[in-house]
Amino acid sequence: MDDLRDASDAALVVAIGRWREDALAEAYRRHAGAAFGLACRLLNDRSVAEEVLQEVFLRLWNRPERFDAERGSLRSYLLAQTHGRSVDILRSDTSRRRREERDARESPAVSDDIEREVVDMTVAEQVKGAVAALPTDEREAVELAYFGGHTYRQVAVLLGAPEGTVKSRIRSGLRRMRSELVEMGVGEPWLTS
Amino acid sequence: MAHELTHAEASELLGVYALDALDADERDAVELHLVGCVLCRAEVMEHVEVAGLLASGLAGPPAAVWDRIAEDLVGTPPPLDLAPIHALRRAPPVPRRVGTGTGPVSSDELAERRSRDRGRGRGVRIGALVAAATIAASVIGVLGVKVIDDGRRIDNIAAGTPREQLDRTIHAAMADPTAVRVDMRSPDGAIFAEAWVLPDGRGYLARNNLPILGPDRNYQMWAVVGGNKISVGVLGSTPEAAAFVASGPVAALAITAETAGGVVSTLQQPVVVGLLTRA
Repeated sequence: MDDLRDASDAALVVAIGRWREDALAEAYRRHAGAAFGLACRLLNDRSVAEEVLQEVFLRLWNRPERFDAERGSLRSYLLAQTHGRSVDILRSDTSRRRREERDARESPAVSDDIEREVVDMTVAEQVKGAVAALPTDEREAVELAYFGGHTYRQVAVLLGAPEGTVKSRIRSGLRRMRSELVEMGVGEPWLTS
Repeated sequence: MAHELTHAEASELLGVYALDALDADERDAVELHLVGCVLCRAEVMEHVEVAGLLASGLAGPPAAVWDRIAEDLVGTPPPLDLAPIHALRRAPPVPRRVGTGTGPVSSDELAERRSRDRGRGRGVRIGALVAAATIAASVIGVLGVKVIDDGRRIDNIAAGTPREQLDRTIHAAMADPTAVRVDMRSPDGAIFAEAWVLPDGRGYLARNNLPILGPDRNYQMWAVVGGNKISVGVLGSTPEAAAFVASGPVAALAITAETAGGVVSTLQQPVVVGLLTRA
């Protein structure tokens, strides 16, 4: 059996499509940490986050053809799956009620959360720098949408800003972060290609 | 049904779309736009990549999660020569695709997918859905379009067209409401190939997980018309995407594994086969 440690994402997924469990294990080794951390951050519930993680990787096993290497990295695909599923859960009736209660108790101003969460890896440090370079209003909007799992309409309410403004802040924030990361020389090929 | 956005309207929503921060109706509208807009798809991809980097450095997963995943992994690759075609013809249709795969999924869609997912390698799909074959059979042949009946198309239809151009054409076909999706499956459902056929007979092989063949063998696609298998072309040994013509009262599409170069008629059992059904 060939070593998959150096295999590209596309090669890994092809191997997964051939029912190679070691390929899925390698994908898990590479990306499960970020996916689980994201689900935990969104759901604030480790057991539910574990279920989401399990679901995402079993979906990769069962439907590997849904990953298209030409549309981005496996990592971003898995994180998008994780984020989407977590948000689905968050927006379910029960979770929504629970979160509304939580939101009523907490301030929406959480502008430093991204910086606190993103630690202990070289890339994470670079991302932290890119996040820090964002204007506060953009950073808040991105954070509330991505880590808070809120829709942009909800973010607008939380920040007391017009919906159109929030849409623009999020889009420009993501673009600004990308530019910063490219300038910092983040080695992810999908950012620099 | 999602309303159609202008490019400018869709562009404004790409950032929030990438962060799953849209309501369902707007998300559907963006996804509809993305099907036909290369620029917006590229921008979404960039946003998704950046968003993914935000998760860098978060906590690692407990080892027990992998153990649970490993316990759920089932299935081994089936042999290429599978069950007879009459068994394949009882294979149920798979519902028309519901989403682009690039964005968030609804709970219902996820549940439906998971239900199908669990069938991989377990052979439960056919048994559970045989009744659907009756419905599928009732719509066989409803595409009353012209037949190409030479039966001798053994040119390589997977070659020639630049992949990017072919992808654009396939995406356009997938977005065409008149297109029919054909889900070709092996008897156990483990091997699949997805094709889209337009009313004028133009068809496109899209996603598939056909096993790679040796250098002396090629896949070949067939249109089943009136009980006869008419070749629509050779796909090569590692088919990814291809354009073909499958006109006539086509009941089904099938793919066989043949000797390199293709054959004008086949004695092989199909690797995958799927009925033409309307959603």
